[in-house]
Amino acid sequence: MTKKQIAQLADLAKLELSEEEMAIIEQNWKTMLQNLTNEQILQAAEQASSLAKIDGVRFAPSFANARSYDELFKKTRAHAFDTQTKQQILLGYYVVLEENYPTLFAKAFDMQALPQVALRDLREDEPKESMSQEELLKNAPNHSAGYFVVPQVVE
Amino acid sequence: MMEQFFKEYDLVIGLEIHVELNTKTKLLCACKNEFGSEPNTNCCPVCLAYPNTKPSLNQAAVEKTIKAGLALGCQINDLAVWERKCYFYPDMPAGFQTSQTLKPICLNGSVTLKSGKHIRIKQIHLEEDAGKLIHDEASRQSYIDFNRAGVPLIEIVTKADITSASEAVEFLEEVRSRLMFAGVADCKMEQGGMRCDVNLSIVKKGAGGFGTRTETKNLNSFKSVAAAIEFEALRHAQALKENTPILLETRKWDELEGKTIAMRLKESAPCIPCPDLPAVKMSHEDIAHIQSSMPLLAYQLKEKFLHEFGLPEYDVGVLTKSKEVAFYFVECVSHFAQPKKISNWLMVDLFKLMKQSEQDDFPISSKHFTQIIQMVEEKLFNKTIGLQLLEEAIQTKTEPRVLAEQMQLMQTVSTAQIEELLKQLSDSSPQVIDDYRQNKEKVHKFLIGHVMKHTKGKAKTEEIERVIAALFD
Repeated sequence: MTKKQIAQLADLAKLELSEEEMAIIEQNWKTMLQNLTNEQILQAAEQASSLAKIDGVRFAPSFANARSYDELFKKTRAHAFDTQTKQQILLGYYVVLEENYPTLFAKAFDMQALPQVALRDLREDEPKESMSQEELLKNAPNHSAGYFVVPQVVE
Repeated sequence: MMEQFFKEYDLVIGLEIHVELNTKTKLLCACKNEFGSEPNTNCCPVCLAYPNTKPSLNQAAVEKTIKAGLALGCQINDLAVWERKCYFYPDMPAGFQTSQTLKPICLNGSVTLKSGKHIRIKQIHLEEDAGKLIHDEASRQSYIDFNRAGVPLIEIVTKADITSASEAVEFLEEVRSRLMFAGVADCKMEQGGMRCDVNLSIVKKGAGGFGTRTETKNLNSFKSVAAAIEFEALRHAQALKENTPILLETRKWDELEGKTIAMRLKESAPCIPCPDLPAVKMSHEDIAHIQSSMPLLAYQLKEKFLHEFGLPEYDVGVLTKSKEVAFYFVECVSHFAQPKKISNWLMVDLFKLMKQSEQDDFPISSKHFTQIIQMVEEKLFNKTIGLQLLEEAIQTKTEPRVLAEQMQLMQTVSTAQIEELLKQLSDSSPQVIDDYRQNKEKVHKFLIGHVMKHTKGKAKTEEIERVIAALFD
């Protein structure tokens, strides 16, 4: 993006930008991540981990010839998610990388600890009816003798 | 071999012990926590991690973790915060395990070994167990049972204070005993209810610090823990001698071959603050309440039995081996304050009957059991009859005092009846009396036996002795 283009955009958006604000700053991961708010960190992390629930392995085409779980997930995720989702996952995982732990994770963790519940208000330990085995296995691509059956991919 | 090893090296061991809690339901949903059900019958959308499902925390699981912490001398955090530990494996349908790292429920515990050495516990946290995979080598397929997925699991992490296989086993036995007595877990190792990971490194003798460590995972018997430690120690020593690198890796124990096998290089699973679960506040009142409901643990009962009850060490060992026996014994003593008498009856007679009928549960209530002992001690009848009554009481489930009346077991033979019996004897065979006067001791026993035989043991020995003295002396 050139200075002229930025000026045109600002004009269009009816923004008055100072000379300094119009300067082009090289944006990189590091500066971007340092400026993430707690909320953004938590959101990215949550989305990244929640996506596993609708992950390719269970809901996308299966890859029977994968040689390891790593390979299996890479293939299914590549085919099941669009670019934006992939970026979100990337960001979510980036913020919880070990090297970012003290700056990002610990900060977000403190915020996560704010919603609190008293011990006595937790769920009582009383069993409820589970799903039937039949219902449970109904959508499984492969099952036998009450078990889900998956290709053996031993690492 | 280990002797030579310890001349040259020091062992540095830390344990991670996973124990399934004996709650009725799973950690995050109300499905049953039950071993041995048909596969995939204790599952719901939450434990199968369907999209859009929300977990809800089990109160009993948190309480039992607090109990485990108290039993192992831990401090209890005021706040427990949840995280998602992200890893991919088909036994974990969510793609993450709900667990704790930064703010676990319990911190800084310690267990003292017989030698007086303290093994420090870094933390105890609560997490969910994974499903069970069965690999079929022939068809190259894996079978998954998700009944275990979501079962509450505590992980006890020690500091690297353990320096030998025997210390590791002693520590594990003590932990197991305390958790079982506290009533938080059944610790059935053969069912995977207690599993142990061994983190081990070696250093040159006296050098201090740590070497490169390996982690041997999922050991499910004390025997394999000891064997795996010794195998790894020698393997590390060999590698140091040959100058080959020791890799920071995860290994598994091959029971048949008796060796550890490399599984994968050690990798850390990223943790993410769990957005689904609020942090749990544990107030001082909550903890005090739980503390007050804690039963005495084996090591505390041992003290009590030895010093308060004055029992010999052998009895104490037998009586504190299992929670059921120890608690039954304490109950018995509360009914009848004769610990040694009860201990004898329990360890010899009742155990024998239970063994004969292949029963694990006590077939008679502590109240009824002590009634029989008490009646024998009151000399209402002798022990032989007491034992008959015990068997009868077990079979008919009737109160022994009532049963004794019904069976007319009480020693109600009158002095006149005893006199009558002895007179008949001296009339029919007068030489017995002559014999008695010549060889008192021997014939005395015969006379008592004679009366007992004819009264079916219901006469009191002292009474017979008095009559003999009155008649023949």
